[in-house]
Amino acid sequence: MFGFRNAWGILLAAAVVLLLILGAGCGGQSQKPQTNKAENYPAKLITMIVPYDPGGGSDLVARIFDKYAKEEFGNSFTFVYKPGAGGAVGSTEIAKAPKDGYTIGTVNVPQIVLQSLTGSGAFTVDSFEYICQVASDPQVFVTPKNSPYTDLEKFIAAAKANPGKLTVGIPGAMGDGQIAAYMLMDKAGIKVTVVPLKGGSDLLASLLGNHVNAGFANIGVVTSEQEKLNLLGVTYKERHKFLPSTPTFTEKGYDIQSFIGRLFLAPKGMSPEQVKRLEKGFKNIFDKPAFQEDMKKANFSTDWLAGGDVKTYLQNYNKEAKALLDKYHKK
Amino acid sequence: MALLTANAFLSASLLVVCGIFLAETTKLDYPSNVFPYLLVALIAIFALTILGQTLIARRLSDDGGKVRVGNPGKVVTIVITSLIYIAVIEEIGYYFTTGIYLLLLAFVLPPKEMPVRKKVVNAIILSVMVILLIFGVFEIALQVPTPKGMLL
Amino acid sequence: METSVVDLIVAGFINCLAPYHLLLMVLGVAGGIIAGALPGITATMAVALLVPITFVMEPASGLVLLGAIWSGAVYGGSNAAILLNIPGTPSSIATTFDGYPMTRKGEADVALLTSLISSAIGGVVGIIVLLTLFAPLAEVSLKFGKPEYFWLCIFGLTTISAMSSGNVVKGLAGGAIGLLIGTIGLDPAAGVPRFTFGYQPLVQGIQLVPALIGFFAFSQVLSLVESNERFIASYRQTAGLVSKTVSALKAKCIAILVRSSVIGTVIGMLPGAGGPIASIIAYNEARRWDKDHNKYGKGVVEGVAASESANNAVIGGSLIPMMGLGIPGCPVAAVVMGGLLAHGIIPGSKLLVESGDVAYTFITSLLVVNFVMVVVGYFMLRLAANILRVPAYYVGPIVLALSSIGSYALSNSILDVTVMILCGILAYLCSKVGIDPGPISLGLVLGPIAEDALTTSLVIAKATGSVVQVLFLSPLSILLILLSILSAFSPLLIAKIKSQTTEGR
Repeated sequence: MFGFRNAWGILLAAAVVLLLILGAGCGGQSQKPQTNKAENYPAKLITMIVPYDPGGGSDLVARIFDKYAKEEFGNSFTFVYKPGAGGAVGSTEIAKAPKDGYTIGTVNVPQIVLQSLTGSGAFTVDSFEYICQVASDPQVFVTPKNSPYTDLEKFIAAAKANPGKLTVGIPGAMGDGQIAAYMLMDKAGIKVTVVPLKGGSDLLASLLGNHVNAGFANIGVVTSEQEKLNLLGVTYKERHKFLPSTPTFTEKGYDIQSFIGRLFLAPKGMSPEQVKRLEKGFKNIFDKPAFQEDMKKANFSTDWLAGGDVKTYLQNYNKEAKALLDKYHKK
Repeated sequence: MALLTANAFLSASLLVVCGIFLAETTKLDYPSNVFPYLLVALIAIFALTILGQTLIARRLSDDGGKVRVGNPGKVVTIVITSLIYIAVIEEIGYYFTTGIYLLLLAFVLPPKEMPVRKKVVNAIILSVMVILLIFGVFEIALQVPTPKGMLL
Repeated sequence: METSVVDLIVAGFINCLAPYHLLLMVLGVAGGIIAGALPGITATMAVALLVPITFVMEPASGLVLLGAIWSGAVYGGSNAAILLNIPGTPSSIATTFDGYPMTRKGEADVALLTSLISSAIGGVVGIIVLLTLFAPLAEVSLKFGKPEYFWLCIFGLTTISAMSSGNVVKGLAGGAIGLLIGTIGLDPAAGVPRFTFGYQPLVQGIQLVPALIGFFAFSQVLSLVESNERFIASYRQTAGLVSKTVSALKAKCIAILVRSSVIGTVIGMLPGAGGPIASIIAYNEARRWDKDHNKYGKGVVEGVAASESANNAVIGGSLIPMMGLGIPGCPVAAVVMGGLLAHGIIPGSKLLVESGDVAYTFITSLLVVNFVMVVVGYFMLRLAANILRVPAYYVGPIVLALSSIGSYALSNSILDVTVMILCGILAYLCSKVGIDPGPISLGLVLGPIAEDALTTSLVIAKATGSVVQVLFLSPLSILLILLSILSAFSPLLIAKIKSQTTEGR
């Protein structure tokens, strides 16, 4: 029987060690429930739902905001990760969250639109109150360095000569890249084969390994490896600050604008005063030079859009994407 | 249950699964449907092979041994408790439900010979310790947001 | 240029041997081992949870901590695999095959020490390859296209035919069930939900880790209850543990350790493969090259050494494309890369020029951490083995409670707990008719990668016009196809040759 008792002691010791080790880094935060009045909102910790894994792009942006949230809102955010189905699971969670003003989330455009169109998320564009957009990363149309298609004209000419024969990699099915590729097909009147890959890294590997002819890559992925690629065009309204020497599609005569926007939003039905307060707070943080510096270091291109404008933009995008999908995407 | 009967059950259920997935796969387009079709075909082949093996074995009157379940009472208790556990966890709250779950299992699983008083005391010690450990690590240190429900 | 790299390496060593960094390594390794040993906390999750904490640290220190946790967690996964037959992380699935039988034989501490030493050796080999050859190897890793990934997965799946102890057809059926479960969720090619049977939350798919916990932990608890044994295994501390284990490794495993470490490094550097595949293939190769195949699965140190050296070698391997091209080689590397970006350090071809000091401190610390791990791990090993002194009827409830929180915490979803329990019941029923959890989990690990590779190849083939050309005719594909055929049929052939020779006698 000694062995058994001994084992309990050891188990207990193990528990203490575990607590010490894991607790050492984090340190618990106590939180006191307070009364919920409009003027002292936010009166307690706001929960931030991140529909992706910790450490991803959306998480990093939210974390950078979190650094300044304490001085702006009096509290930092509590992060809740709900990854799954490319963000659809967590976005559904945000749409269904309590409307008391203490649960908000961060999502990406256009995933939020496309997921509602494909049925992978149980929400629509109208299921949310939009706080703001804080960053937007356009796509860059690239080919591998040793490719014969060194500029957009050559690629389009080749695609016209061989309809469907050229492959265009995108970072994932039903994401921003898919819509950008369909826009290119639509505006340039060409047909290419769209190849959905598993994320930006997979796309970069496929491009550098010459497994696809071209690709629509996120600007952050391309910037650091640009000398290994031909940059044919940026899907942005003007030349982008990260790639000032790369032409835009608009310059080349094709009106293609597409980007990943990083949004903060809340479930539909949260009080307008609370949404306004959050929008003001996020804007204050956004305008801090230190914040801008942090975003730049992490390769995010900041771009402010207020909540109301986000909503209009999304509704228009929704229509456009639906038309493109109906035209090019098999049901 | 004889192993051969179990084999027949196995191949039958595999074929049913095949049928269900086949029905769904027909709704998909090329190339999304290639991999599921491949799998459905493979599983059907395996199921039929198992069935064939079983029939041959039966003809050779080789009973193939028995499927034995030891302690069926306890096994069924764990399965049923676990199913109830996931059914109520969101209503009642993560830590409370898990505590009761632990208490119940730690009471049911020890051998009959153990005195009831000792069973109860050990079960309580175990549940409290494990719950405290999980609470400390996941709630306090890692701040994992568990469903709180009515209690905790 | 040459001298400057050497300078950077030396500076990196000096920097990571600073007392503060050594302390971080001890803490990180210890925390990582515990996290890895708990079912449900994978290496990816342990590192991801710690990334925000490193934001407040110096970049180099933060990375040293992350690297230590990573190494510790990958080794720690073997503890639960060996002691309880529950892989603590997906990378240690193959460790259960021989680790748990060793425990049953009363050699738990020998298995644990074997795992520890092999992990450290694998880790060192991986990092040395990374330090010396990363630039050319990063380019090589790009040669692997989608068709090659598909065949790599098929090669991994052929392991089933060798692994199935009883009826091979049942093993294959188990693998196919795993593959089928893996198709639930989002269609990788079309991006729309499928096989959700009208239940919207299923769109997230059956997550690998909760399913694995169910397959191994939940069903293992049911088996423990059935067996009616008071303890999982008799355990007495082995006298002269260190000398005994080291001499056993020296006598039997040198070739296996080298081969498995190389396999781990190579598979690690392929973005899209990863630890589970590496350890399974290394295990299968160890078994195949051995004169006596049949001893595997019955508790031999070779099996543990192969699997564990491979999964730690993956660490160095997966950093090769990340340091060279900005492409992380496995999910944990992707998380580490997120951490680097947050510090404004951009991985890729310019990393060593722009942030060479931080990068080399990180890489050399991954080398040093293996030695720290041996020391820390040795002290923790006997502590861990004491779980065998807890009566089996109390281990059961503890494992179930940890499985539950582990499954939940992965993505904060009760659905994952449900998946865990249902998969557990499924695996238990399957084990009754002779289908082990091994093949099912293998199918589930490889299925999504294989499917993605296959459908992407088919899309590309549609553009170029020839499925045969794309899928079958590249030199690497042909090599992998031949290897798969060899691997699938060699057990049958060997059995035949053996039966003929015995008949002949």
